[in-house]
Amino acid sequence: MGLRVGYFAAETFINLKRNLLMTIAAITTVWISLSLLGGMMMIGEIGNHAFSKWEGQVELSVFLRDSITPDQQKELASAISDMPEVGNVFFESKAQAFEEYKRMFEDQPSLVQHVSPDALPASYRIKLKDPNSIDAVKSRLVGRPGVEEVNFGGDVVKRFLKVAKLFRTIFLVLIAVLLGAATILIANTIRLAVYARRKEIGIMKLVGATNWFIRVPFIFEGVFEAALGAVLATAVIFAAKLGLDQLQLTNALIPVTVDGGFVLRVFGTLLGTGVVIGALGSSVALRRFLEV
Amino acid sequence: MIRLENVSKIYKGSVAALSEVSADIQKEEFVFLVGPSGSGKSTFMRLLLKEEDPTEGRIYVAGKDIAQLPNWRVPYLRRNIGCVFQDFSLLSNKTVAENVAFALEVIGRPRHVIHQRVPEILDLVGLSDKINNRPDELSGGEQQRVSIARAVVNRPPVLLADEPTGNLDPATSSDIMALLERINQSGTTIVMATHDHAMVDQARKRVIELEAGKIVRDQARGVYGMGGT
Repeated sequence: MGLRVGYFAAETFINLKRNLLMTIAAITTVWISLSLLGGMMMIGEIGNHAFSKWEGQVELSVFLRDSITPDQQKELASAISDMPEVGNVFFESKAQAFEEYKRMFEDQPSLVQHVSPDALPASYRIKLKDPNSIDAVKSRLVGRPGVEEVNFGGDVVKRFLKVAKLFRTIFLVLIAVLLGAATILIANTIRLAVYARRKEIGIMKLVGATNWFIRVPFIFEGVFEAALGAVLATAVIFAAKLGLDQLQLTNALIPVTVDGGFVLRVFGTLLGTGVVIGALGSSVALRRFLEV
Repeated sequence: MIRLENVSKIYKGSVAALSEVSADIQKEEFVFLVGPSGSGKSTFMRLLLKEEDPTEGRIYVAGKDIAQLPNWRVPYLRRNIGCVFQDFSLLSNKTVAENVAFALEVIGRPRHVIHQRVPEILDLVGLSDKINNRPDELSGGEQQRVSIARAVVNRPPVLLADEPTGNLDPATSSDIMALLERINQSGTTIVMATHDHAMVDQARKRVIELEAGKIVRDQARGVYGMGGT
Protein backbone atom coordinates (compact mmCIF):
# COMPACT_ATOMS: atom_id res chain seq x y z
CA MET A 1 0.00 0.00 0.00
CA GLY A 2 2.90 2.29 0.80
CA LEU A 3 3.98 1.96 -2.77
CA ARG A 4 0.54 2.91 -4.03
CA VAL A 5 0.39 6.04 -1.91
CA GLY A 6 3.73 6.89 -3.47
CA TYR A 7 2.27 6.29 -6.92
CA PHE A 8 -0.82 8.40 -6.18
CA ALA A 9 1.22 11.26 -4.73
CA ALA A 10 3.69 11.19 -7.62
CA GLU A 11 0.94 10.88 -10.23
CA THR A 12 -1.00 13.73 -8.62
CA PHE A 13 1.92 16.12 -8.74
CA ILE A 14 3.09 15.03 -12.17
CA ASN A 15 -0.41 15.68 -13.47
CA LEU A 16 -0.65 19.00 -11.69
CA LYS A 17 2.61 20.00 -13.31
CA ARG A 18 1.81 18.64 -16.75
CA ASN A 19 -1.60 20.24 -16.80
CA LEU A 20 -0.19 23.42 -15.36
CA LEU A 21 -2.62 25.73 -17.15
CA MET A 22 -5.59 23.68 -16.05
CA THR A 23 -4.20 23.58 -12.53
CA ILE A 24 -3.75 27.33 -12.46
CA ALA A 25 -7.25 27.83 -13.86
CA ALA A 26 -8.73 25.56 -11.21
CA ILE A 27 -6.82 27.16 -8.34
CA THR A 28 -7.72 30.64 -9.56
CA THR A 29 -11.38 29.69 -9.85
CA VAL A 30 -11.41 28.32 -6.33
CA TRP A 31 -9.49 31.33 -5.10
CA ILE A 32 -11.86 33.88 -6.62
CA SER A 33 -15.04 32.01 -5.69
CA LEU A 34 -13.94 31.46 -2.13
CA SER A 35 -12.64 35.04 -1.80
CA LEU A 36 -16.10 36.28 -2.78
CA LEU A 37 -17.65 33.89 -0.32
CA GLY A 38 -15.24 34.91 2.42
CA GLY A 39 -15.74 38.59 1.62
CA MET A 40 -19.47 38.16 1.88
CA MET A 41 -19.05 36.38 5.20
CA MET A 42 -16.87 39.25 6.36
CA ILE A 43 -19.35 41.96 5.41
CA GLY A 44 -22.06 39.92 7.07
CA GLU A 45 -19.97 39.57 10.22
CA ILE A 46 -19.24 43.29 10.39
CA GLY A 47 -22.89 44.19 9.83
CA ASN A 48 -24.02 41.59 12.29
CA HIS A 49 -21.58 42.88 14.85
CA ALA A 50 -22.75 46.46 14.42
CA PHE A 51 -26.40 45.48 14.61
CA SER A 52 -25.74 43.38 17.69
CA LYS A 53 -24.06 46.31 19.34
CA TRP A 54 -26.96 48.60 18.54
CA GLU A 55 -29.47 45.98 19.55
CA GLY A 56 -27.66 45.60 22.83
CA GLN A 57 -28.42 49.21 23.51
CA VAL A 58 -32.16 48.72 23.14
CA GLU A 59 -33.53 49.24 26.62
CA LEU A 60 -36.91 48.97 28.24
CA SER A 61 -37.67 51.49 30.97
CA VAL A 62 -40.24 50.60 33.60
CA PHE A 63 -41.19 53.81 35.43
CA LEU A 64 -42.57 53.37 38.94
CA ARG A 65 -45.37 55.30 40.59
CA ASP A 66 -44.31 57.28 43.59
CA SER A 67 -47.05 55.47 45.46
CA ILE A 68 -45.50 52.02 44.96
CA THR A 69 -45.18 50.04 48.18
CA PRO A 70 -41.95 48.25 49.07
CA ASP A 71 -43.80 44.91 48.75
CA GLN A 72 -45.09 45.78 45.27
CA GLN A 73 -41.63 46.89 44.25
CA LYS A 74 -40.05 43.71 45.55
CA GLU A 75 -42.58 41.63 43.69
CA LEU A 76 -42.05 43.63 40.49
CA ALA A 77 -38.28 43.30 40.77
CA SER A 78 -38.46 39.54 41.12
CA ALA A 79 -41.07 39.29 38.34
CA ILE A 80 -38.71 41.13 36.01
CA SER A 81 -35.64 39.12 36.86
CA ASP A 82 -37.62 35.85 36.54
CA MET A 83 -38.51 36.54 32.94
CA PRO A 84 -36.36 34.36 30.68
CA GLU A 85 -36.00 37.11 28.07
CA VAL A 86 -34.43 39.54 30.51
CA GLY A 87 -30.69 39.92 30.41
CA ASN A 88 -29.64 42.74 32.63
CA VAL A 89 -31.69 44.82 35.08
CA PHE A 90 -30.60 48.07 36.55
CA PHE A 91 -32.57 50.01 39.16
CA GLU A 92 -32.46 53.78 38.96
CA SER A 93 -33.73 55.48 42.10
CA LYS A 94 -35.37 58.93 42.12
CA ALA A 95 -32.12 60.45 43.35
CA GLN A 96 -30.08 58.77 40.62
CA ALA A 97 -32.64 59.89 38.04
CA PHE A 98 -32.23 63.46 39.22
CA GLU A 99 -28.44 63.23 39.09
CA GLU A 100 -28.66 61.90 35.55
CA TYR A 101 -31.07 64.68 34.65
CA LYS A 102 -28.75 67.30 36.10
CA ARG A 103 -25.85 65.84 34.15
CA MET A 104 -27.82 65.82 30.89
CA PHE A 105 -28.85 69.45 31.21
CA GLU A 106 -25.87 70.94 32.96
CA ASP A 107 -25.56 73.64 30.28
CA GLN A 108 -29.12 74.71 30.91
CA PRO A 109 -29.33 75.55 34.61
CA SER A 110 -32.85 76.98 34.25
CA LEU A 111 -34.20 73.55 33.35
CA VAL A 112 -32.55 72.05 36.37
CA GLN A 113 -33.66 74.83 38.71
CA HIS A 114 -37.35 74.26 38.04
CA VAL A 115 -37.27 70.54 38.72
CA SER A 116 -37.33 69.34 42.28
CA PRO A 117 -35.13 66.32 43.14
CA ASP A 118 -38.35 64.49 43.85
CA ALA A 119 -40.06 65.09 40.50
CA LEU A 120 -38.43 62.32 38.45
CA PRO A 121 -39.71 58.76 38.80
CA ALA A 122 -37.63 55.80 39.81
CA SER A 123 -37.32 53.12 37.15
CA TYR A 124 -36.06 49.67 36.19
CA ARG A 125 -33.87 49.69 33.10
CA ILE A 126 -34.08 46.34 31.38
CA LYS A 127 -31.69 44.99 28.76
CA LEU A 128 -33.08 42.05 26.87
CA LYS A 129 -31.27 38.93 25.71
CA ASP A 130 -33.18 39.11 22.46
CA PRO A 131 -34.33 42.60 21.56
CA ASN A 132 -37.09 41.14 19.41
CA SER A 133 -38.97 40.07 22.54
CA ILE A 134 -39.38 43.70 23.57
CA ASP A 135 -43.11 43.83 22.83
CA ALA A 136 -43.88 40.65 24.74
CA VAL A 137 -41.96 41.79 27.80
CA LYS A 138 -43.56 45.19 27.69
CA SER A 139 -47.08 43.83 27.55
CA ARG A 140 -46.44 41.67 30.60
CA LEU A 141 -45.28 44.66 32.65
CA VAL A 142 -47.85 47.26 31.66
CA GLY A 143 -50.59 47.62 34.24
CA ARG A 144 -48.82 45.86 37.08
CA PRO A 145 -49.44 47.47 40.45
CA GLY A 146 -47.07 50.36 40.98
CA VAL A 147 -46.03 50.61 37.33
CA GLU A 148 -46.64 54.02 35.84
CA GLU A 149 -45.40 53.49 32.32
CA VAL A 150 -43.30 51.08 30.25
CA ASN A 151 -41.27 52.69 27.55
CA PHE A 152 -38.78 52.04 24.83
CA GLY A 153 -37.72 53.82 21.71
CA GLY A 154 -40.98 52.67 20.13
CA ASP A 155 -41.34 52.62 16.37
CA VAL A 156 -37.76 53.62 15.73
CA VAL A 157 -36.50 50.67 17.68
CA LYS A 158 -38.98 48.32 16.04
CA ARG A 159 -38.05 49.51 12.59
CA PHE A 160 -34.40 49.15 13.44
CA LEU A 161 -34.96 45.60 14.63
CA LYS A 162 -36.75 44.81 11.39
CA VAL A 163 -33.86 46.18 9.35
CA ALA A 164 -31.41 44.14 11.38
CA LYS A 165 -33.44 40.99 10.77
CA LEU A 166 -33.75 41.73 7.05
CA PHE A 167 -30.03 42.39 6.83
CA ARG A 168 -29.24 39.03 8.36
CA THR A 169 -31.67 37.18 6.13
CA ILE A 170 -30.35 38.85 2.99
CA PHE A 171 -26.81 37.98 3.93
CA LEU A 172 -27.64 34.38 4.63
CA VAL A 173 -29.30 34.15 1.23
CA LEU A 174 -26.36 35.87 -0.48
CA ILE A 175 -23.89 33.54 1.18
CA ALA A 176 -25.96 30.53 0.16
CA VAL A 177 -26.10 31.82 -3.43
CA LEU A 178 -22.35 32.43 -3.50
CA LEU A 179 -21.71 29.01 -2.04
CA GLY A 180 -23.82 27.52 -4.80
CA ALA A 181 -22.06 29.59 -7.45
CA ALA A 182 -18.67 28.60 -6.08
CA THR A 183 -19.67 24.95 -6.15
CA ILE A 184 -20.81 25.14 -9.76
CA LEU A 185 -17.73 27.08 -10.87
CA ILE A 186 -15.32 24.73 -9.17
CA ALA A 187 -17.15 21.60 -10.32
CA ASN A 188 -17.15 22.95 -13.88
CA THR A 189 -13.44 23.65 -13.82
CA ILE A 190 -12.77 20.15 -12.59
CA ARG A 191 -15.04 18.76 -15.28
CA LEU A 192 -12.99 20.59 -17.89
CA ALA A 193 -9.79 19.19 -16.42
CA VAL A 194 -11.23 15.69 -16.44
CA TYR A 195 -12.53 16.15 -19.98
CA ALA A 196 -9.10 17.29 -21.12
CA ARG A 197 -7.76 13.97 -19.90
CA ARG A 198 -10.51 11.66 -21.12
CA LYS A 199 -8.04 9.87 -23.38
CA GLU A 200 -5.83 9.06 -20.43
CA ILE A 201 -8.85 7.79 -18.52
CA GLY A 202 -9.88 5.69 -21.51
CA ILE A 203 -6.45 4.07 -21.67
CA MET A 204 -6.44 3.43 -17.94
CA LYS A 205 -9.75 1.64 -18.25
CA LEU A 206 -8.57 -0.32 -21.24
CA VAL A 207 -5.48 -1.70 -19.57
CA GLY A 208 -7.56 -2.73 -16.58
CA ALA A 209 -7.09 0.00 -13.98
CA THR A 210 -9.80 -0.19 -11.35
CA ASN A 211 -12.12 2.77 -11.00
CA TRP A 212 -10.63 3.70 -7.64
CA PHE A 213 -7.18 3.65 -9.10
CA ILE A 214 -8.34 6.10 -11.77
CA ARG A 215 -10.33 8.23 -9.37
CA VAL A 216 -7.89 8.74 -6.54
CA PRO A 217 -5.32 10.94 -8.34
CA PHE A 218 -8.13 13.14 -9.67
CA ILE A 219 -9.61 13.49 -6.19
CA PHE A 220 -6.18 14.29 -4.75
CA GLU A 221 -5.78 16.94 -7.44
CA GLY A 222 -9.20 18.43 -6.78
CA VAL A 223 -8.52 18.53 -3.06
CA PHE A 224 -5.06 19.98 -3.49
CA GLU A 225 -6.29 22.71 -5.83
CA ALA A 226 -9.22 23.51 -3.58
CA ALA A 227 -7.05 23.66 -0.48
CA LEU A 228 -4.55 25.97 -2.15
CA GLY A 229 -7.39 28.16 -3.42
CA ALA A 230 -8.84 28.30 0.10
CA VAL A 231 -5.49 29.34 1.56
CA LEU A 232 -5.16 32.11 -1.02
CA ALA A 233 -8.75 33.24 -0.43
CA THR A 234 -8.11 33.37 3.32
CA ALA A 235 -5.03 35.47 2.64
CA VAL A 236 -7.28 37.93 0.79
CA ILE A 237 -9.67 38.05 3.73
CA PHE A 238 -6.80 38.50 6.14
CA ALA A 239 -5.40 41.36 4.04
CA ALA A 240 -8.87 42.95 4.05
CA LYS A 241 -8.97 42.62 7.82
CA LEU A 242 -5.58 44.29 8.17
CA GLY A 243 -6.76 47.09 5.86
CA LEU A 244 -9.87 47.61 7.96
CA ASP A 245 -7.82 47.57 11.14
CA GLN A 246 -5.88 50.50 9.70
CA LEU A 247 -9.08 52.44 9.01
CA GLN A 248 -10.34 51.65 12.47
CA LEU A 249 -7.79 54.10 13.93
CA THR A 250 -9.70 57.04 12.49
CA ASN A 251 -13.23 55.68 12.78
CA ALA A 252 -14.06 54.24 16.17
CA LEU A 253 -17.81 54.76 16.10
CA ILE A 254 -18.68 51.22 15.16
CA PRO A 255 -16.20 48.34 14.95
CA VAL A 256 -15.76 48.04 11.19
CA THR A 257 -13.49 45.03 11.36
CA VAL A 258 -13.34 41.42 12.39
CA ASP A 259 -11.16 39.65 14.90
CA GLY A 260 -8.55 36.96 14.32
CA GLY A 261 -10.99 34.29 15.43
CA PHE A 262 -13.28 35.23 12.59
CA VAL A 263 -10.46 34.91 10.06
CA LEU A 264 -9.74 31.44 11.44
CA ARG A 265 -13.40 30.51 11.17
CA VAL A 266 -13.47 31.79 7.58
CA PHE A 267 -10.38 29.74 6.83
CA GLY A 268 -12.02 26.65 8.26
CA THR A 269 -15.20 27.25 6.29
CA LEU A 270 -13.42 27.99 3.02
CA LEU A 271 -11.04 25.06 3.39
CA GLY A 272 -13.89 22.72 4.26
CA THR A 273 -16.06 24.00 1.44
CA GLY A 274 -13.23 23.88 -1.07
CA VAL A 275 -12.02 20.41 -0.14
CA VAL A 276 -15.51 18.93 -0.14
CA ILE A 277 -16.33 20.55 -3.47
CA GLY A 278 -12.96 19.53 -4.91
CA ALA A 279 -13.35 15.91 -3.89
CA LEU A 280 -17.02 15.63 -4.79
CA GLY A 281 -16.57 17.61 -8.01
CA SER A 282 -13.79 15.29 -9.15
CA SER A 283 -15.78 12.15 -8.43
CA VAL A 284 -18.92 13.48 -10.06
CA ALA A 285 -17.02 14.75 -13.10
CA LEU A 286 -15.38 11.35 -13.48
CA ARG A 287 -18.55 9.35 -13.20
CA ARG A 288 -19.56 9.33 -16.80
CA PHE A 289 -16.04 8.40 -17.85
CA LEU A 290 -15.91 5.50 -15.47
CA GLU A 291 -18.96 3.66 -16.69
CA VAL A 292 -17.93 0.22 -17.85
CA MET B 1 -9.52 -19.24 -24.97
CA ILE B 2 -12.45 -17.29 -26.46
CA ARG B 3 -15.83 -18.80 -27.17
CA LEU B 4 -18.97 -17.11 -28.44
CA GLU B 5 -22.23 -19.04 -28.31
CA ASN B 6 -25.10 -17.68 -30.39
CA VAL B 7 -24.18 -14.12 -29.56
CA SER B 8 -26.48 -11.35 -30.76
CA LYS B 9 -26.13 -7.67 -30.14
CA ILE B 10 -29.03 -5.43 -31.02
CA TYR B 11 -28.70 -1.72 -30.37
CA LYS B 12 -31.89 0.06 -29.41
CA GLY B 13 -33.98 0.99 -32.41
CA SER B 14 -31.52 -0.47 -34.86
CA VAL B 15 -30.74 -3.63 -36.76
CA ALA B 16 -28.67 -6.34 -35.19
CA ALA B 17 -24.96 -5.47 -35.10
CA LEU B 18 -24.27 -9.14 -34.50
CA SER B 19 -26.72 -11.97 -34.84
CA GLU B 20 -26.27 -15.56 -33.73
CA VAL B 21 -22.52 -15.46 -33.87
CA SER B 22 -20.72 -18.54 -32.63
CA ALA B 23 -16.99 -19.00 -32.73
CA ASP B 24 -14.36 -20.86 -30.82
CA ILE B 25 -10.87 -19.42 -30.73
CA GLN B 26 -8.17 -21.65 -29.32
CA LYS B 27 -5.26 -20.71 -27.16
CA GLU B 28 -2.32 -19.38 -29.18
CA GLU B 29 -4.41 -19.03 -32.32
CA PHE B 30 -4.10 -16.06 -34.68
CA VAL B 31 -7.43 -15.05 -36.15
CA PHE B 32 -8.25 -12.39 -38.71
CA LEU B 33 -11.64 -10.78 -38.42
CA VAL B 34 -12.59 -9.39 -41.81
CA GLY B 35 -15.61 -7.81 -43.39
CA PRO B 36 -16.83 -4.45 -44.62
CA SER B 37 -17.35 -1.48 -42.30
CA GLY B 38 -20.44 -1.95 -40.21
CA SER B 39 -20.30 -5.73 -40.46
CA GLY B 40 -19.90 -6.07 -36.72
CA LYS B 41 -16.12 -6.38 -36.25
CA SER B 42 -15.94 -3.56 -33.72
CA THR B 43 -18.95 -4.86 -31.82
CA PHE B 44 -17.26 -8.26 -31.69
CA MET B 45 -14.19 -6.67 -30.07
CA ARG B 46 -16.22 -4.52 -27.70
CA LEU B 47 -18.16 -7.51 -26.42
CA LEU B 48 -14.93 -9.37 -25.65
CA LEU B 49 -13.78 -6.41 -23.55
CA LYS B 50 -17.17 -6.20 -21.89
CA GLU B 51 -17.50 -2.61 -22.94
CA GLU B 52 -20.98 -3.78 -23.83
CA ASP B 53 -23.05 -6.82 -22.98
CA PRO B 54 -24.58 -9.05 -25.64
CA THR B 55 -28.34 -8.93 -26.06
CA GLU B 56 -28.33 -12.71 -26.27
CA GLY B 57 -25.86 -15.52 -26.07
CA ARG B 58 -22.83 -16.29 -23.99
CA ILE B 59 -19.24 -15.20 -24.23
CA TYR B 60 -16.43 -17.07 -22.52
CA VAL B 61 -12.98 -15.62 -22.14
CA ALA B 62 -10.40 -17.93 -20.55
CA GLY B 63 -13.20 -20.25 -19.53
CA LYS B 64 -15.23 -17.60 -17.73
CA ASP B 65 -18.68 -16.43 -18.76
CA ILE B 66 -18.07 -12.70 -18.90
CA ALA B 67 -21.77 -11.82 -18.83
CA GLN B 68 -21.75 -13.08 -15.24
CA LEU B 69 -18.86 -10.84 -14.38
CA PRO B 70 -19.82 -8.04 -11.97
CA ASN B 71 -18.79 -4.56 -13.05
CA TRP B 72 -16.07 -4.25 -10.45
CA ARG B 73 -14.38 -7.37 -11.87
CA VAL B 74 -14.25 -5.95 -15.41
CA PRO B 75 -10.84 -4.28 -14.90
CA TYR B 76 -9.41 -7.69 -14.01
CA LEU B 77 -10.86 -9.17 -17.21
CA ARG B 78 -9.18 -6.41 -19.19
CA ARG B 79 -5.83 -7.16 -17.62
CA ASN B 80 -6.02 -10.44 -19.55
CA ILE B 81 -6.71 -8.74 -22.86
CA GLY B 82 -4.26 -6.38 -24.50
CA CYS B 83 -5.63 -3.89 -27.02
CA VAL B 84 -4.18 -2.18 -30.04
CA PHE B 85 -6.04 0.37 -32.16
CA GLN B 86 -5.73 2.04 -35.50
CA ASP B 87 -5.08 5.44 -33.88
CA PHE B 88 -2.35 4.16 -31.49
CA SER B 89 -4.01 5.88 -28.50
CA LEU B 90 -0.77 7.02 -26.94
CA LEU B 91 -0.52 9.76 -24.37
CA SER B 92 1.33 12.60 -26.06
CA ASN B 93 2.61 14.10 -22.82
CA LYS B 94 4.42 10.93 -21.79
CA THR B 95 7.57 9.45 -23.24
CA VAL B 96 7.63 6.06 -24.94
CA ALA B 97 8.84 4.36 -21.76
CA GLU B 98 6.29 6.21 -19.66
CA ASN B 99 3.46 5.25 -21.98
CA VAL B 100 4.35 1.60 -21.61
CA ALA B 101 5.03 1.86 -17.88
CA PHE B 102 1.66 3.56 -17.44
CA ALA B 103 -0.14 0.32 -18.29
CA LEU B 104 1.65 -1.41 -15.43
CA GLU B 105 1.45 1.47 -12.96
CA VAL B 106 -2.30 1.85 -13.18
CA ILE B 107 -2.86 -1.79 -12.35
CA GLY B 108 -0.64 -1.40 -9.32
CA ARG B 109 2.43 -3.37 -10.44
CA PRO B 110 5.43 -2.85 -8.17
CA ARG B 111 8.16 -0.57 -9.39
CA HIS B 112 10.84 -3.24 -9.76
CA VAL B 113 8.56 -5.17 -12.13
CA ILE B 114 8.02 -2.01 -14.18
CA HIS B 115 11.74 -1.26 -14.31
CA GLN B 116 12.43 -4.74 -15.56
CA ARG B 117 9.56 -5.25 -18.02
CA VAL B 118 9.43 -1.92 -19.81
CA PRO B 119 12.96 -2.03 -21.31
CA GLU B 120 12.47 -5.71 -22.06
CA ILE B 121 9.31 -5.19 -24.05
CA LEU B 122 10.63 -2.09 -25.82
CA ASP B 123 13.59 -4.15 -26.87
CA LEU B 124 11.22 -6.81 -28.23
CA VAL B 125 9.36 -4.28 -30.39
CA GLY B 126 12.67 -2.76 -31.50
CA LEU B 127 12.40 0.66 -29.87
CA SER B 128 15.23 0.49 -27.36
CA ASP B 129 16.77 3.62 -28.81
CA LYS B 130 13.56 5.68 -28.57
CA ILE B 131 12.55 5.14 -24.96
CA ASN B 132 12.81 8.81 -24.04
CA ASN B 133 11.13 10.20 -27.15
CA ARG B 134 7.58 11.45 -27.13
CA PRO B 135 5.00 9.91 -29.48
CA ASP B 136 4.92 12.92 -31.81
CA GLU B 137 8.63 12.44 -32.47
CA LEU B 138 8.00 8.94 -33.82
CA SER B 139 6.80 7.62 -37.16
CA GLY B 140 3.38 5.96 -37.40
CA GLY B 141 4.93 2.50 -37.41
CA GLU B 142 7.00 3.31 -34.35
CA GLN B 143 3.97 4.66 -32.54
CA GLN B 144 2.08 1.47 -33.27
CA ARG B 145 5.01 -0.51 -31.87
CA VAL B 146 4.77 1.48 -28.66
CA SER B 147 1.06 0.78 -28.58
CA ILE B 148 1.70 -2.94 -29.04
CA ALA B 149 4.38 -2.88 -26.36
CA ARG B 150 1.89 -1.28 -23.99
CA ALA B 151 -0.72 -3.89 -24.85
CA VAL B 152 1.52 -6.87 -24.13
CA VAL B 153 3.77 -5.56 -21.37
CA ASN B 154 1.49 -7.15 -18.79
CA ARG B 155 1.73 -10.46 -20.70
CA PRO B 156 -1.96 -10.87 -21.35
CA PRO B 157 -3.04 -14.25 -22.82
CA VAL B 158 -5.15 -12.42 -25.45
CA LEU B 159 -4.34 -9.53 -27.74
CA LEU B 160 -7.08 -7.73 -29.66
CA ALA B 161 -5.94 -5.59 -32.56
CA ASP B 162 -8.51 -3.37 -34.25
CA GLU B 163 -7.19 -2.25 -37.66
CA PRO B 164 -3.64 -1.94 -36.30
CA THR B 165 -2.25 -1.19 -39.75
CA GLY B 166 -5.10 1.00 -40.95
CA ASN B 167 -2.98 4.15 -40.83
CA LEU B 168 0.27 2.66 -42.07
CA ASP B 169 1.92 2.18 -45.45
CA PRO B 170 2.34 -1.40 -46.76
CA ALA B 171 6.01 -1.81 -45.82
CA THR B 172 5.41 -0.60 -42.27
CA SER B 173 2.31 -2.76 -42.08
CA SER B 174 4.37 -5.85 -42.87
CA ASP B 175 6.75 -4.98 -40.04
CA ILE B 176 3.84 -4.63 -37.62
CA MET B 177 2.39 -7.90 -38.86
CA ALA B 178 5.73 -9.64 -38.35
CA LEU B 179 5.84 -8.27 -34.82
CA LEU B 180 2.32 -9.52 -34.09
CA GLU B 181 3.22 -12.96 -35.44
CA ARG B 182 6.23 -13.03 -33.17
CA ILE B 183 4.02 -12.17 -30.19
CA ASN B 184 1.59 -14.86 -31.29
CA GLN B 185 4.40 -17.41 -31.46
CA SER B 186 5.36 -16.62 -27.90
CA GLY B 187 1.92 -17.90 -26.86
CA THR B 188 -0.48 -14.96 -27.09
CA THR B 189 -3.86 -15.52 -28.71
CA ILE B 190 -4.44 -12.75 -31.26
CA VAL B 191 -7.69 -11.53 -32.79
CA MET B 192 -7.07 -8.91 -35.44
CA ALA B 193 -9.76 -6.99 -37.28
CA THR B 194 -8.48 -5.70 -40.58
CA HIS B 195 -9.24 -4.42 -44.07
CA ASP B 196 -5.79 -5.21 -45.34
CA HIS B 197 -6.28 -7.78 -48.14
CA ALA B 198 -2.64 -8.27 -48.94
CA MET B 199 -1.72 -8.95 -45.37
CA VAL B 200 -4.45 -11.50 -44.83
CA ASP B 201 -3.74 -13.26 -48.10
CA GLN B 202 -0.06 -13.46 -47.34
CA ALA B 203 -0.35 -14.59 -43.71
CA ARG B 204 -2.59 -17.57 -44.37
CA LYS B 205 -4.13 -17.61 -40.91
CA ARG B 206 -7.62 -18.45 -39.80
CA VAL B 207 -10.12 -15.95 -41.21
CA ILE B 208 -13.54 -15.18 -39.76
CA GLU B 209 -15.58 -13.08 -42.15
CA LEU B 210 -18.51 -11.08 -40.91
CA GLU B 211 -21.23 -9.58 -43.04
CA ALA B 212 -24.20 -7.68 -41.65
CA GLY B 213 -23.58 -9.14 -38.23
CA LYS B 214 -23.35 -12.76 -39.31
CA ILE B 215 -20.38 -15.04 -39.72
CA VAL B 216 -20.35 -15.90 -43.42
CA ARG B 217 -17.04 -17.72 -43.40
CA ASP B 218 -14.74 -19.27 -40.85
CA GLN B 219 -11.80 -20.78 -42.60
CA ALA B 220 -8.44 -22.06 -41.52
CA ARG B 221 -5.51 -20.70 -43.56
CA GLY B 222 -7.88 -18.41 -45.42
CA VAL B 223 -7.51 -15.38 -47.64
CA TYR B 224 -9.27 -12.02 -47.39
CA GLY B 225 -11.96 -12.39 -50.02
CA MET B 226 -13.45 -15.53 -51.47
CA GLY B 227 -14.40 -15.14 -55.11
CA GLY B 228 -17.26 -12.70 -55.38
CA THR B 229 -17.35 -11.34 -51.84
